[in-house]
Amino acid sequence: MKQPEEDIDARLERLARSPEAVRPKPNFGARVMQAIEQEREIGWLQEILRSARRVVPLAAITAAVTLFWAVRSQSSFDEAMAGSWDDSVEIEW
Amino acid sequence: MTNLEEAVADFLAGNRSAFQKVVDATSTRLVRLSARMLGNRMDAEDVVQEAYVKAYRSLIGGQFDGRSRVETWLYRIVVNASIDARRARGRRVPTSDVLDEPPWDGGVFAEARLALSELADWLSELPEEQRTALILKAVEGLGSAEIAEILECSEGAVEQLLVRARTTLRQRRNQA
Repeated sequence: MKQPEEDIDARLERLARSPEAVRPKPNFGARVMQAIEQEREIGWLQEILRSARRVVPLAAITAAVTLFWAVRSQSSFDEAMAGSWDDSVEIEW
Repeated sequence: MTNLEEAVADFLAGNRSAFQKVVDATSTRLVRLSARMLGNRMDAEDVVQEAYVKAYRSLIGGQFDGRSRVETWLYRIVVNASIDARRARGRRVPTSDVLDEPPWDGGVFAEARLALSELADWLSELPEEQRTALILKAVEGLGSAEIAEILECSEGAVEQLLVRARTTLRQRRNQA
């Protein structure tokens, strides 16, 4: 309890006494390490998502180029087929 | 190099389990500091746990540059986290929170518990920086240079904070 005419420094000193009594619960270290472990797992997940986010634009560009190439190849093939059809000679019986 | 610095170096070299050594070596002091800032041990444990996770993230992310001692760096994280926690719940320590806290290891520590709540109540009217400086200096017994590093200000500014804190407390006592 506060003494009536207690000086500021004396009061601070009294309140700082027996510091060994203020300490974490015995399982506190284990609790912290568990939280760190969870953080590590979340960290892995975030790293995967971050990497995935980096890959998405590259994958989109690759898909667009592949589609473009496929369409072009198809139309070249169609043109070639059409040309060869025009050049064909019908055999009359 | 101290054991703590060695443990951090070991951690940074890839031994992730070395963080346990950091926790073992510092948790008592950090929880005590936070409890003195917050007025009870339960909140202090939550705050210090969060502070360790933050420190872990910083170490992994390469944000600890080693300019200050590991302990001072951890103190800074805990001080800032405790200030944030106090702001989040409002300035005054609700007495019911302190009384609701389960007893610590029997009645032996009742005095320490009361001391924490008395300290929090007494200093609750001081501005945050003055309170923190006073606790670090007069209760935790740190030097002005270390407090300046923790609060990221000059030693002169720390001295000013301490003078202002004492003046405010003296004025309040005289008014009472």
